[in-house]
Amino acid sequence: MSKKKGLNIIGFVLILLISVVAILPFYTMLIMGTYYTNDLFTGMKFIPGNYLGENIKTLFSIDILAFYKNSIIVAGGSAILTVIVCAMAGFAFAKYKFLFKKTLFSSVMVTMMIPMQLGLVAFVIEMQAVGWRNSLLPLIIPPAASAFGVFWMTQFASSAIPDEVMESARIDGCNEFTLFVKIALPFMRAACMTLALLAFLWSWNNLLTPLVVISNESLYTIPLGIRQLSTTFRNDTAAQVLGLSLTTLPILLLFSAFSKSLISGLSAAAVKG
Amino acid sequence: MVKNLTYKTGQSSKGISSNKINLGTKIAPYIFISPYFLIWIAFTIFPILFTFYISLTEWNGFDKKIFVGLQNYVHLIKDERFYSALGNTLLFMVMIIPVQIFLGMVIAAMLSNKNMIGKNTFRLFNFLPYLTTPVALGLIFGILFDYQFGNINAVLSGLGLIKENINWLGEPWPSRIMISLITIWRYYGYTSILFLAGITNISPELYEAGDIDGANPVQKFFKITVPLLKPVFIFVVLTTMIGCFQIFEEPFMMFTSQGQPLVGGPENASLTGVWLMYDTAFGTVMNFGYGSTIAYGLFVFIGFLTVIANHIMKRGED
Repeated sequence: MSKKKGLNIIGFVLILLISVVAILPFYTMLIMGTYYTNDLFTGMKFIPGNYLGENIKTLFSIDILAFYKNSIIVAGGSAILTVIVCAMAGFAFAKYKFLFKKTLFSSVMVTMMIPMQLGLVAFVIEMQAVGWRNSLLPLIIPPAASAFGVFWMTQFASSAIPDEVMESARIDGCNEFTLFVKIALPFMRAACMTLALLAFLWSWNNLLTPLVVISNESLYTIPLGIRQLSTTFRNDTAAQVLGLSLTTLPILLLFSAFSKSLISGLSAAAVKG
Repeated sequence: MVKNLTYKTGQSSKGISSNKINLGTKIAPYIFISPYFLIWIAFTIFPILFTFYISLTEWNGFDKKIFVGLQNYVHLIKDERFYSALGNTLLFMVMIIPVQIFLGMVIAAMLSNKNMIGKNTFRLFNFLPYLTTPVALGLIFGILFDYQFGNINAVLSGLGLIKENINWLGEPWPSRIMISLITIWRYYGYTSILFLAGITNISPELYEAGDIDGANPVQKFFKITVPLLKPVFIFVVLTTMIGCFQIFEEPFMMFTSQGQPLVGGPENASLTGVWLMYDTAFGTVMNFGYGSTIAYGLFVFIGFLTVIANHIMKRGED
């Protein structure tokens, strides 16, 4: 028994150390945003500096609020769309028999293994051709076809929705669309929530796509806007770091609030991976 | 067609409803999957195919395309930077995958322990790095790994582990190690959640049986947990491999956002495939044609590696 306790203590200390390493860069980020840039490179900082006000001023000298607004539109829009598109497809793959189902599902699996960036050049030209260049649409609509999302919704739906409930709803005269909205979706709520959070996160943090499709400054998302600080203000690193802290905080709050459902949602899908 | 007819002409209410079911269940799945596949064809498949066409041309995106056949590919197989990018990707895989999987599994094993205090808090803490904007990672770690004033060098020399400061951002191997460390830091928490999910699904009876046989926790981990995690393990290895191909934002931010931009890092040691493609197609000289060729070169390389990895892991299953 005492040997077991000993192992528990070792485990606890180990995980505590790892957690400290996980958090430290975060903490440094928050602290660095309160210093004058030149002071950042003069050794370790663990207590907040007194330059926060100035850095905030610098941040507001670029249109940070507009960047925020764009990021919220893009991330929110793509999260909602991703959940709708993937939940529908996942439901179909999990609960219906249809021709070419296996082939189509394999195409989803293969897509999951292909880095999307490989079609980037043509994607940019395509956006130009359809007139979506310098609009937020390329950041909202294309990501909705998330192969990971479909794969995961399929896994989740196949075990979460009881067939008997679907059958009895059909006997009651429910059509397939009502069945999906009224019966299936409530059972898939945990998965939808988790996918919405992840899609929001991916979109919020995405740098590469906005970098290549958006050149109009009024449409910049936060990562793009923050990057611009290094040229406009001759490497005002501290202001950049503060901007990044402000970028990360909303995500942090969002995920802390939903961490339980996120992790249980992830669990359900990963197991059968 | 016949069913359609009966549906329309059927009189008895029972007949209508049963035919409705049949018809609905036949068509509904296609309607449900169509949004996904329409977007997928328009924005994933079409760009990938069109990229192949562009790879056969010389084009800067503005002037007329000039069809050059396989000329770009001939250039590609002699391009040293392309091989550096592939080599770096392989090195990153070797450095990242084992460590990330080991850390992920160990943490998952500890967090699955019923007696662990503060489980939820630790779980969240370890998930934090996954949430950070990659742009931030490049910037923050750029400062932490600074040659003269960085905290990392300060801590290492404070502990007496190094005699001279390491020039993380200025020398090939240190820069590779640095990028690997950052990538591991970012993803191990995510990996551990996947493993945790797998562990939670293992029947407790197996562990009870282990207890009866007098197995200690370490033995139980290696004899029960590890073998049963195989499916999760395969999933994690494959997705981490793909993740290694996609490394871009962190080195890109570290080497181009401060001072003199240095594409690829010191001696191209941190050049990755996606970065090379981005720099070729959208860098100072816009070369869409050759950028697309690089994308296809990577495509073939990734496909090849994935098939091999899948084969090796599946064979181990028998």
